Amino acid sequence: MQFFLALILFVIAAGIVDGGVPWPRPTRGKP
Amino acid sequence: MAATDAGQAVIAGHFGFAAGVKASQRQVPLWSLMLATAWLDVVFVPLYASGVETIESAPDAAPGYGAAIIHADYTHSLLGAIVLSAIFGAVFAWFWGQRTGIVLGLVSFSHWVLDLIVHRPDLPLLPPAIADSPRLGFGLWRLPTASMVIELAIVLFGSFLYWRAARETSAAAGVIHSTRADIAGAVVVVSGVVVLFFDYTGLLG
Repeated sequence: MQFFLALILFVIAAGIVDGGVPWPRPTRGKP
Repeated sequence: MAATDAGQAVIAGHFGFAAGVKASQRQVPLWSLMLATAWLDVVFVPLYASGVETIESAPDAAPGYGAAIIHADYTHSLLGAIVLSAIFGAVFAWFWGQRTGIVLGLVSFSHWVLDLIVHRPDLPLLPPAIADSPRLGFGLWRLPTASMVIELAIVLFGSFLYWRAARETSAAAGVIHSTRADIAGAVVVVSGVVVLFFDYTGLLG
């Protein structure tokens, strides 16, 4: 479980740095 | 499958695959791809904690990386994976549109496909509560070093695709210095390699 928590932290970190890149945003709207 | 006391399992490979998908589906936030690829394990955790789903070490392997036999008959059955992935995709489609929802649903299901390659035959088609069905798994974990090398290759290749796409996107947006893209790419590859290192060595338990 410790490993799983570490993974979550890495995922969050990757998500944060990904926000620094000017990616296109997903199209909002209902399916 | 997440790591447990009984042995380590695929994490970084899923992680690398999600990074690679980002390169072609650039409108999908990386965090959601990461969450998608780990979604079956996210649901597995409370079921494991409550004893509904269990995991044990294979008798033919030393405890550690690649030694797990799972009894995750709900989250990691073919039907369960399809249902959970459909739910995941539908929720995100509501917010981000059908295309993104489909991508995230497929990435969630990719978890089962990657697990199919490495697991010993422990992935049922249906939960036994519904019907007895064959258990699938190609068993690459019987060769843990080969499994680790392939997982590392997925991490490196997926991270490279992500980094290249980040630089292209930055350049297209008129960003002169792609420092943020480089940092993002570095964090992705380092995270993947570190996760794989701890997974393979079992240093975090």
